[in-house]
Amino acid sequence: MARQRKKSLAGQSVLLGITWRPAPGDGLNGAFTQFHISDIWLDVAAIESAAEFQTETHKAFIRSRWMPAWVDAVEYGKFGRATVTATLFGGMDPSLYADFQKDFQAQINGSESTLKHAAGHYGPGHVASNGKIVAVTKASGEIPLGSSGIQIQFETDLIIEGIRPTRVVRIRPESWPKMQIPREEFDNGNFEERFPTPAIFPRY
Amino acid sequence: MKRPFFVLGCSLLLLGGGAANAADEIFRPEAGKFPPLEKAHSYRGELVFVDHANRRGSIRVVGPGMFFRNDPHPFALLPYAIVRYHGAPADLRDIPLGTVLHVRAFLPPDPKLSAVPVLPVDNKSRPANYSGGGGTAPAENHVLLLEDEPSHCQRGGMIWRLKEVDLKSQAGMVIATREPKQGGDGKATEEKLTFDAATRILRGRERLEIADLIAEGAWPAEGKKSLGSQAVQLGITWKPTPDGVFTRFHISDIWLDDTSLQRAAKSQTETHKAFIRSRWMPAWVDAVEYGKFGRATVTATLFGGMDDSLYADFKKGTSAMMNSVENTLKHTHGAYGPAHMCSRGSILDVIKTPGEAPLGSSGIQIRFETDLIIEGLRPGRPVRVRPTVWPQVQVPREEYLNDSLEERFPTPAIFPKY
Repeated sequence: MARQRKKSLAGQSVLLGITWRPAPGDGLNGAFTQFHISDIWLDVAAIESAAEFQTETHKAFIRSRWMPAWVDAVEYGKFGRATVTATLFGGMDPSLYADFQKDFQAQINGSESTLKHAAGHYGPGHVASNGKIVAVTKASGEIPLGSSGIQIQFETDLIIEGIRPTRVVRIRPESWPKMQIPREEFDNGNFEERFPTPAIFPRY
Repeated sequence: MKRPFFVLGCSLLLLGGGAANAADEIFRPEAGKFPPLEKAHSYRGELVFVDHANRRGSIRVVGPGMFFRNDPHPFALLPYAIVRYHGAPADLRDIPLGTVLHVRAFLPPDPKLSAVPVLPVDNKSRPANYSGGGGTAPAENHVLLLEDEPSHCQRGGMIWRLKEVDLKSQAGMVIATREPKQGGDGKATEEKLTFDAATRILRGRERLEIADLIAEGAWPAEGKKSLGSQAVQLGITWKPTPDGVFTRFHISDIWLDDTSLQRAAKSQTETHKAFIRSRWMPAWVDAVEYGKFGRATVTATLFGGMDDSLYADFKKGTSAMMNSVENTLKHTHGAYGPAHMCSRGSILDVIKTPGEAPLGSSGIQIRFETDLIIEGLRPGRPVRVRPTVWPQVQVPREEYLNDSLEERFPTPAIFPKY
């Protein structure tokens, strides 16, 4: 007897991971846009477990690459001193934002729009402005996507180029580990590395 | 001297001017012959970029000095390369960036056709980058075997033995040794590896967190504990390291038993089977006997490293299709896909060669008869073969060349013009 191929699943609630794979067809006829299920999460515990692993992966990533933000304002003082107001970007795990606390030491580093460190292998920890978080403010109301709704004020005695209103920066609270980022994640003096041409092949 | 790094998509070929006195030691794979593994150069590194459609990428090669400063080193897969992930056949697209891989590679078979830069043949012994030593940019960048840590260990009959864990806030350090599964001499070098709360612990059908091991009392909540040389397999990656440590690897996965790794391998095997059925089995042509009016019989050797069930679909007397591809295994005839352009015919014979097949070969030859032989089915050339029990599908745009061979090594002109 032929095995049963179809069965009603009665509207079972699940979450799906969806991918694309080539679908049957000869190029003229066939299924041109048909997606493929990579994962089926049958219950809340399953998706929460997946989210937990991904959250921990991302937390380790952000702690090593620093929190992205942009500069809202800079009040310049004397002899390089300045107070920077910056809005932390959104979408991270709350535990990362919780590490930004008033009176904690921190570092703030200029980066380009791709969030790359732009000052070579003397990494972010070397070239950043060092200072202290003097205020942490949480905006009320609905926060626009992209923003965390959290503003910090950061005081430094040596403001670096790149920390300008509307420019993108990365910030490290002192409690995060200081690490060296890998070669492909920093520019080394040539902005053309951002959008490579054929000249990017190494010359040995 | 400034040395920009390789990302993806470029066209410059640097023809190596190797040392003359090394000329008689130079070995390059030849078309139609699987190169002996023992002549390959071995190295290890972190997968940094992948250009899966062109079967190439970059690896940050482990060497002396500051690992993070090593330029990603471009590599290309040989047409018959074997890629293994989680102890199973894989494509480059299956391997997450950051995975530490073991590489066995050769000089480019034909430097003029290399999909990645061609280096001086002795480059592995030249000082490289900031490392203060050589080896991080070997000219041997055409890969025969690429395998992640558990695949490498399984092939070599090795395991990791966990000696001690030091844990703080669900992250920390493990001291472990990689040694033979049977009969270790106790002299293996201890390595320190980090882990964190994202490290997956696989046991039977379970996927555990570090917190679960703590709850069970297997690992301490804080501090050090001896793990008594517990035998496991490890997935190994690289992440930026604190404390001025330049080369220290990170544990992404710990497989506590055989069942858990077998389940990972089964999942990866099924992914790869579906991939090969849709892209067709790679092979190369050993011989062509021409008949009249376009008729020909092609003898081809199927490439190795696939799941046995794929080879079992090649049966005497069944119909099949055979399509020419370039060295990157890409279809070369545009949107009219492989099934439109291929030679159709039947499999006259399936021959299993006696003895152990060299790495890269399945040891299986087919004889395929067609009434319309297409250009490209020539001795020494790679092809792809589809038994007609496999589904007929269209490959996506990035996996075929449409107008120009220059699409292989893109220039900035590759951006679409809208």
